[in-house]
Amino acid sequence: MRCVLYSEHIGGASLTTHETQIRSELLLLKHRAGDEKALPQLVSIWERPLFYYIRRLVNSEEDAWDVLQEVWCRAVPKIRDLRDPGAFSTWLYTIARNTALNHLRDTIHFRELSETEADFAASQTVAAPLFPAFTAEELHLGLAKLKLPHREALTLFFLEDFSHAEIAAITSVPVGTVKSRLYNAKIALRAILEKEL
Amino acid sequence: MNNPELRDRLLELEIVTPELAARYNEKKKAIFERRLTPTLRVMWVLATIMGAGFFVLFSYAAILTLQDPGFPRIGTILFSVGALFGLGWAILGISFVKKGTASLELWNNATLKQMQTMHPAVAGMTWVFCVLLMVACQMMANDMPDTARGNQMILGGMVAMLMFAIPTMIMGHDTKSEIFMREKFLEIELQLAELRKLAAINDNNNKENTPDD
Repeated sequence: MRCVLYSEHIGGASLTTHETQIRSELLLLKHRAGDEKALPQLVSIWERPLFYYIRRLVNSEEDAWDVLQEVWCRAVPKIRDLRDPGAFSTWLYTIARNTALNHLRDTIHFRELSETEADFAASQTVAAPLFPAFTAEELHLGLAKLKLPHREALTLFFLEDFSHAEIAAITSVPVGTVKSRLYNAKIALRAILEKEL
Repeated sequence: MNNPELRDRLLELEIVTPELAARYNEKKKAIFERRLTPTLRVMWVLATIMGAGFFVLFSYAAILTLQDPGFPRIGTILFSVGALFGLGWAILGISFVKKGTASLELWNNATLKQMQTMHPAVAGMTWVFCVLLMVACQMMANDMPDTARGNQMILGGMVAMLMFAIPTMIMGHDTKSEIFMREKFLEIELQLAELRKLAAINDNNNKENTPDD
């Protein structure tokens, strides 16, 4: 089967996280006001990052598409009733995660994601490594080699720049666990990339 | 904060199979259709029956009054309008129940600008229809033998309409205004974000082009 880059297939202009948030809120309002074109636009803004996130959780591309479709089936009927449009992205990623977990149920990945991690405390004073030296291509490849909980936390961080509290809300784990996962994920990713490059 | 370009670069690196993406896009189309829930389906079936009932009833009344030379012509016209109103609902109901979705091509294909024109137009048409109906009823009441009783009924109807329709219209207008204000605010915020992004790109370009001392 021939594969192409997502951007080549789907197209569409890229937006920064902040712009995406504002545009989403605007489209949500238009959708509530009865603009029928707002919803497809909203979906087209979010399907790329959601697909990227889901693809990091499930085993195959086919599963990722199925999960993404299921995400819209669950989210679309409830979008109009969403109380806080500012929390749209967190809400959407939570649905995506829960849908992916349902898909992964009874697999080793599910147990991995459900595991809790020791809260971030001991290494709190140690600065987490940054990634200025690595390109997006290297980070993309490195993510695939991380443990699933680390990969998930770091993907959310890289994609949407979510705060610890937001990642905790999406992943249903305490904030301390998120801090710990992010810290360990950065260390592990750096080690992987330095070893391979 | 992350480098905003990192997000875009990561998304661009995701590899997809066109066949799978096309299959997903096909399935996605069905999600946007407003499928009728069982309750809505029953409601639309009832609305269709009601519309058909109005059509039969008003058509029958219009034909009967047409044969009566003493009956005011405006009454016959009103019954005919009522019959058309019922027929419209029946056709709409049949179409929705048959398709299983409550959406019209006219609405689905309208641009945002057209939608902004259509919404007030539909509200205005409903309002004008109600006012015309009341005025016509008033005229018909004047032609009736017992005009005082007819006038009382019309007056009562108008008061009831004013009591319910006007506050509802004002509340609807208030909500629309609030949404409109928030929408404009977000549009400005979006433009500012885009300008900030452009300014950052320009800054970077300037730094790159400035020769080192």
